[in-house]
Amino acid sequence: MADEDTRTGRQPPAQLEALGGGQRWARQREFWRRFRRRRVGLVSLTVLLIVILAAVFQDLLITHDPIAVDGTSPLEGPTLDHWLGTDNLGRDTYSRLVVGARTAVLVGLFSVLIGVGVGVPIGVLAGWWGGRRDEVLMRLVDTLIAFPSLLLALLIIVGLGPGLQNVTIAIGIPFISGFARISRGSTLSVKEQEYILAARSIGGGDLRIASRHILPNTLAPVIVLASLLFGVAIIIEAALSFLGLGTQPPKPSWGIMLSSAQRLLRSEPLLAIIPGVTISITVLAFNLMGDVLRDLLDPRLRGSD
Amino acid sequence: MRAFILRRLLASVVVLFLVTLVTFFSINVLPGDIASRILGPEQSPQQVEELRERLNLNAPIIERYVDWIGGAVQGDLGKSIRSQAPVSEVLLQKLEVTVELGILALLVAVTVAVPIGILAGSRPGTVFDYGLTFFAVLGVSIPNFWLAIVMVIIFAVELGWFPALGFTPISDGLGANLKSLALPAIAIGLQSAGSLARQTRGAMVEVLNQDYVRTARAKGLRERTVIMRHAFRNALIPVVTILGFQMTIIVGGAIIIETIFQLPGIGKLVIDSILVQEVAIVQGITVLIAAGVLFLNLMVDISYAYLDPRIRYA
Repeated sequence: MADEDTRTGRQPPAQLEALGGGQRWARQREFWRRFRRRRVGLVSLTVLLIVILAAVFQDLLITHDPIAVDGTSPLEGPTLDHWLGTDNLGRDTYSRLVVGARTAVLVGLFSVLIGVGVGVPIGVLAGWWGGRRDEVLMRLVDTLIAFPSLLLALLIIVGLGPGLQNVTIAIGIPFISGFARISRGSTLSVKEQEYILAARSIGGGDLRIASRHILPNTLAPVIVLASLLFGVAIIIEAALSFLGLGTQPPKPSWGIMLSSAQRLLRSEPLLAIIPGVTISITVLAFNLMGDVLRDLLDPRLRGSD
Repeated sequence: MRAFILRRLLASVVVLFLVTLVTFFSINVLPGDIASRILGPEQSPQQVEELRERLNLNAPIIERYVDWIGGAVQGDLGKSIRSQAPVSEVLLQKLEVTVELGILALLVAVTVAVPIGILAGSRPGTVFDYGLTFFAVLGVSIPNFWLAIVMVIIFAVELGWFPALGFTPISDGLGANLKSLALPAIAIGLQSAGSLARQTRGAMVEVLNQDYVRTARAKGLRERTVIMRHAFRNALIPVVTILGFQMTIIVGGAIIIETIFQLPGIGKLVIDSILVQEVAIVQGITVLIAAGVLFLNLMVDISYAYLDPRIRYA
């Protein structure tokens, strides 16, 4: 609320600001110090960086045009020219894998952003308001939980049609419920704390209290959930593409690579193994990262699931 | 207790109503004309108009929803566009395979996950715990459809132990029936086992920190007795509560796994129906599944409240 901001003074005193900044910096340094000690976290981070770099710099990393059909060299094993071999149309498996990384990362990133962007405000408001408005919002969220996420995604795709953008929306909408629930939970747990009462007593409005005091407290579990759901998004994208309802060929996606490999299982198992291992390792890295972040950011949850 | 059940029942009915809204409107309101998609690329405007008329697509959306929901509460989910067979009949035919597959998958999940969860949870922080937890994370990280493909390569193609695809009904012998469902059930079950094991582990860790466990140990009971009699039984309660969640994993798994193994169940039906734009069937399956999940969650909530009176008054 702008008028309240001016009443209470938009700028905090300089000393306080300096202290706050210093504390934040110290906290971050402490976080990294503890993070570095977790070998699992470092390994996961490395894997994720590789995938993200592949997604960003794909043009520099590919060795062949990923959709160029080459009739002269179909179904080759790994060679110096084709590092991971070629598929039945002579397309370079390594280059397709690299380009598929961008699809996976884009879908994962934006679907999680949809979940966070819609779910967190719903959760914080529901928790903050309580009462009937809370009841209404949470019943809406329960509705999404009643569907398996793959089924809900399929339903949305029936309505929107396939394609990368629609797939991202279809995967992101089921995520709203998880973020809403978790941020409602943390809102409820801090709502009655004294510092909220203090913020209110000096004239803080709903919006200000929600964004300055409550939102930061929901951040840790939201980051953890985001990491876990990023992995889930990659699996669902691969599943939808595998079924022919996600990313449309010739655009490469790890799921499409798997589905075309399925027809050649008997003679060319490697074609199915390479994208499968890639998906598994990437998702595993997101899951382990989520676990490490949970341990580091939210000590209350340590030891429980 | 009765007030609690009534309140939860009412909430479930409200959510079920919202589920029908989401299902109906996501298919019918989102951009894209169903009639022209059914007819495919070679269509005339006249054909499209005829089909729109036959499917009642020209009526106001609210009227169509009321029509559909009015039928649905009486068990009439509309007719298949192609075969003209009632949707509810088609669903019932296919339900058997999916229910059997789901039960087998749950059996696999519980058999694998509960021992892992107990062992890891009773030794938290040890190498043993980390190893088992890692396997559980692996279970949720490997896409079930890829696991299915790998198992087909190993156990069907190479070793020839199981059929690579297809379904044998129970009437042709229980052995052959189970053989045809073994790989699909394992593929779905192992994924479900990942989250179930983590949940069991978490519950064990929590329960083992309780005073009554310390008392049990202090009075000199064997560790085995403490874990099985005192800890595990209580750890079961939170584990049971995620059964509804497990069902969503299993049904979600069935959609893709039935398609891979060509099993004539609900999951394959939904994909087939989407590919040929059988909207009424897709709507029917979706509502059926969501209603199943809601019912299971309701049962879990009620039994949970029955076991733990604190819940009732929360």
